[in-house]
Parts: sequence; C-alpha cells; structure tokens
Amino acid sequence: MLRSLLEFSGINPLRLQMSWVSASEGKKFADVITGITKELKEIGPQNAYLREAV
Amino acid sequence: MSIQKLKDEAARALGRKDVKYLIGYKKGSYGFRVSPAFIEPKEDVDQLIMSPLCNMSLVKYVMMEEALPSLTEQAKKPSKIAIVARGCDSRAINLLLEEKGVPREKLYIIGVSCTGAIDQRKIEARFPQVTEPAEVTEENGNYIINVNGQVHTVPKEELLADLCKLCRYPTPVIYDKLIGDKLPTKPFHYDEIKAFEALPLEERLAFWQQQFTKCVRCYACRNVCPLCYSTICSLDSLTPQWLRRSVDTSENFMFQIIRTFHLAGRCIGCGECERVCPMNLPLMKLNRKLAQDAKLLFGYDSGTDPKAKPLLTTFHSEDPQDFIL
Repeated sequence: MLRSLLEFSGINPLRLQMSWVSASEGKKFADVITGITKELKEIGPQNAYLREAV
Repeated sequence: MSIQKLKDEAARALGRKDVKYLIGYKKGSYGFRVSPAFIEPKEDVDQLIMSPLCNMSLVKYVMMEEALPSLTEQAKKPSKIAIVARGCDSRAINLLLEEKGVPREKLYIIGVSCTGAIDQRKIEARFPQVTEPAEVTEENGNYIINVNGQVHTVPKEELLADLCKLCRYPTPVIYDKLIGDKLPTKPFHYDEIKAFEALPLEERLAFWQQQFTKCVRCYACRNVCPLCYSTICSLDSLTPQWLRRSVDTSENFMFQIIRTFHLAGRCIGCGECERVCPMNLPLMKLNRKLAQDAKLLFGYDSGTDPKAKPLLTTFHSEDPQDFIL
C-alpha cells in the first residue's frame, strides 16, 4: 500500500522494494541487491523533495 | 427528518441514569457557522439543531474526553456519552470500536440519516460577509436559505460538499436510535482517483510538489481527524525525529505521506482534514487512494462492520504479495 501511495504521489515505485532473504541465502541476497542497484542506476537520482541543507 | 424527534430522543437519552452528557450541534455565533453543543441538563435540548450546515464530525470529542484520575471516581460517575452521529460519524465510531479505541458501552448513539452537508467555503463564497446567524433547510433538492431576513432558494448541487456527493452510506451503520428514514447505500466508485492514476508519473509529481509547497504545517488535518487519537504521534516525536520542524516541500511531503499512511485502511472518508485545511490541499485524494486500494486489494471497507478486524493488523494467505520481489 505504501508503494502504491508513493507511486500515486509521483515517486517511482522501483525506489521502494521488498524481499525476503534468509541468512543462509547469500547468493540470493547478492542477486537482489545487484538487481535493485542496477534498476536504480537506470532511473537515476531522486531530485524532487530534496531536503534543504541546514 | 424532524428536529423535534431529535430533541425528544436527546431528552430521553439525557434522562437515562447512565448518560453523562450529549454531544450535538447548536447554532454558531455568526453566519453559516455551527458549533458543537455539549448538553448536560435535559432542559437544554432546545439548543440542538440539525441542518445541512452541520458539517463537522463530533466523534473527535469522544476521544478527547478527560478521564477521571482514579477508577473508583470513574465508577461513581455515569459513564455514557450520547452522541448525534451522521453516516460518516457512525463509520468513524465503528472503526474506533473495531480498534478498541472506545468501548461500545461508553456510547449512546443517536443516528441521523444525512442527505449531505453544505460546503462552508461554497456557501460563504455565495453569500459573503454574513454576520447574522443564518438558517438553512432542505426541500425537494433545493436549499432554502434565510439570510438577514431574506429567503433564497439555491439548488442543492451548487452548495453540497464534494465529498458528500461521493458518500456511500448516508444512513448511520451503527446506532441505538435512528432518526429519519433509511437511505439507500450507493455503489463503490473511485473514478477521480483512477483518472489521476492514469496521468504520467512526472505530472503527478509536479501536481503534488505544487500542493505540498502550499502546506503551512498547522497540523489541523491531524488534530481534527476522528481516527488520529494516538497519544504518541510520530509527527511530534523528537527522538527519533522523523520530521524537521521546518516548513518546506520535502518535510511537508513526508508529513502528509506519514499522516496518510497512518490512515491506510482506516480512513472512513468524512473529509474533515480537507474541510479544516486553511490552504485547501486536496488531502482526500491521498486518503481516497488508499481507501480504494484497501477495497480493491483486500476487499476491506473501513468502518462498515464493528466486528471486523483492522485491516493492517491481519494477514491472510490470499493477500496480494506482488510487492515482494
């Protein structure tokens, strides 16, 4: 639901991802992280709603 | 619906030994305003009004009640609060019962069938600068408005609050006594949300950025919400500080997302947040989006059944899981 709310308010849903990985599944963990970073690199940095530097 | 019936019923409720006081509506001090009335002696029920101007939710006052310090003192006093509830208020009460926010024994609910409330902004735009208290009644799809001794007839459509046009349950879903006829339930529709979802991502982002820039963070939307009754609120919290106190688009966005998400699967769509917003933010667009998701993904309709389990505290193996990669 949070994902669809963010999508509704104009945030790319790929930025919020969730997966179950057990401590013994090292390979799966590496795959998931590689996948997410690859996708995120494609969509680039999020420039909207940047917090102003104080 | 006759006002005399409501007054009689209110007097009967106040005559009961276990009822402490009654919360209803009374005439406001000026213009088209309506105030909440807290009535203790039976003789004061004549103050009560029920008109299309009654557009505020009274459920919040149930949650704001101060408890006496000790249980023995509490036991001495009558415990029930009588409340005048319209369709949306009754659903808010239902949700509170569902979450065990308030016990059913504490409430005596006088349900009132509601044909919709007037939008304060619309009527004040139409009749500006009214200082004398005005009276409004509804007749055959028109509002008969009595302002400064002059009588105007305005079609209902022009002044009705936008959310009341979308209301699905005009008759209270829970009550001890119902006043007025039962009105039909309307079908589920979220067309305007669907239309907004169909816009490209950038357009939606631009729309909300523009909206959240306006927010002044007065917290009125949170304070007025009948379902925001937590004593510890993450929006106030300083350790950890989820939100900075500064008012800028980024913090405002976080503020509204947190606020909306805490109402996910709970919001009953009374539109109080939007009504009190001084900057006219379309907050119900966010709330209705999540209400639509709750209905389409989980088949959950908040506030219609006091025995249902709160949506986000339950798990079913059939729940959609496509968000897990």
